[in-house]
Amino acid sequence: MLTLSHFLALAAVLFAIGLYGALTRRNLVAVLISVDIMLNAVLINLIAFARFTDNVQGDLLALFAVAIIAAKVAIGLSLFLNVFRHNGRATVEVLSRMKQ
Amino acid sequence: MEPFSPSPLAFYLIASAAVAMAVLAVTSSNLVRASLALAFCLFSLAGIFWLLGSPFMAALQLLINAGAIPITTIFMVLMTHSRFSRLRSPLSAIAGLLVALPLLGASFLFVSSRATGNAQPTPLGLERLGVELLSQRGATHTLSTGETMVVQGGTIVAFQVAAVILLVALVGAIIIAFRPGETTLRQIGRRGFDRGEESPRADA
Repeated sequence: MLTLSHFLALAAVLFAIGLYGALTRRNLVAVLISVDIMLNAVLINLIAFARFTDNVQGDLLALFAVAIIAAKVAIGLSLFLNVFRHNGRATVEVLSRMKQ
Repeated sequence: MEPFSPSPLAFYLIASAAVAMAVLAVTSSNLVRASLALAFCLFSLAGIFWLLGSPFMAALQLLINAGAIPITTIFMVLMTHSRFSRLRSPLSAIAGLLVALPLLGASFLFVSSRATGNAQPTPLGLERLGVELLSQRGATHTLSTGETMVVQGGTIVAFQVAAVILLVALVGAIIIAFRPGETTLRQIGRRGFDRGEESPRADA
């Protein structure tokens, strides 16, 4: 029988995979893909807790999180496009150099 | 609604597909392939939401997270000429594992020791979700089944704020990506607006 722990374990595995990708990938688009996986792991957590405790607020929070994810992707596309225009490539090193 | 028991076989099938596709999405050096793997991963998560008894979130996941976001990601791959990606450095894979694996272990400690809740998930009906989303907290509402419910969520203001946030994000994305001199006339290749000539902005 499935319990809450099954869903939380799946979310933890997905979050760790996304974190690994966000830390190791060089290309900014690949980092954004990894962050997407992490955000969706959080969505699983929200909905699993909401359904196993029959509390509707978790579902509502997940719904708003989806809207924020969509906004993040739109802004990310335009920012990476500008990084690419200014530097000829969209990589993490280009953004690290902005500190200096 | 009554609690129900989701099928373990379906869960294990969908979860293994999601994890396999997530691994492919973060390790594939071909970013188009990684975007497709991301699409499959998010698609299977819609099945997880369905198993949890939240059909509206499953539909939303299919429409937005499994539909629109991988498409936008592929647009990003094309527009930033980044079809291939490498590791940041040869050692970064080890560093990433050193961060991700302890976090995974800590999460599993939490999962096995602190996870509480009911034994079975309770499905959330569409009507109840809609009423909770689009009314004020504390209001009473009579469902079509005849039972009366008191609104716990009441996120009508947050719903409208989310709509404004989406609008601001889209307009902001257009403004950030806007290049001076790039007009519709230039996009259709009209004479005088082609690349290499002075942009119409400059002589204005």
